[in-house]
Amino acid sequence: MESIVLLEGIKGWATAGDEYNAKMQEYDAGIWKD
Amino acid sequence: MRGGQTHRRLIRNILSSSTLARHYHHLPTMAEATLATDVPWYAGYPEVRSSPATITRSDLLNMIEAGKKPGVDYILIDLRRTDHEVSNACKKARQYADKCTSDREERYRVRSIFLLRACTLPYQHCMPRSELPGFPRSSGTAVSTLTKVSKEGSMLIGYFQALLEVEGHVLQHGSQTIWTTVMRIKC
Repeated sequence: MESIVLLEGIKGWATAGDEYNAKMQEYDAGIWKD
Repeated sequence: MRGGQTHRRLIRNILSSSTLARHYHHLPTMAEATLATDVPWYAGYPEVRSSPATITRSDLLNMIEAGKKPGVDYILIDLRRTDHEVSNACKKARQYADKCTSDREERYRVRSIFLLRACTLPYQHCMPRSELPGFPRSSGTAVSTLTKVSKEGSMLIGYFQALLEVEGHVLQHGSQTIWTTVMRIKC
């Protein structure tokens, strides 16, 4: 098993645009706003 | 004199009591203590031990779109600082630590690692519900997923060891942002 850190984390993913948001389940844009 | 002894006994009982009792007596959680002082939130965590490799989100996206299956080819775990303060997480940690090993010292080590890192979003009421495919919904799910992938007990220990490595990276950056770990399972 290998562990790898996702750069900029899930928050980076959730705020990176539709291409990434589309892969999230139950995505709610409001949650990820600062 | 007797009053002093009673007071000391009360303090000792509180310090060794459950989270619920600490709440009743208004003792601060780690998060509250951090807010109350200027001590960085990560001050109470162990020293950095390693620097795991990284992956960009575009590479991860390519991996997902290439048909890699969550829970089989990889597991995503979101690590958050306050997860270990969730009482049910503590209970699960104890349960899984007890399953891991009968050795007392090892059990405590595994449990502490679990408490710090194994709890994933959204743990009951405290986390946002958005998630990536493959995110285990709880620490228990994460472990059971791993157990399904490999029935060997060593996999479970390997899981905790991997989490320990990840912690080192998190501490190294000292950031309060949300981190995500991609754990690839090599079968």
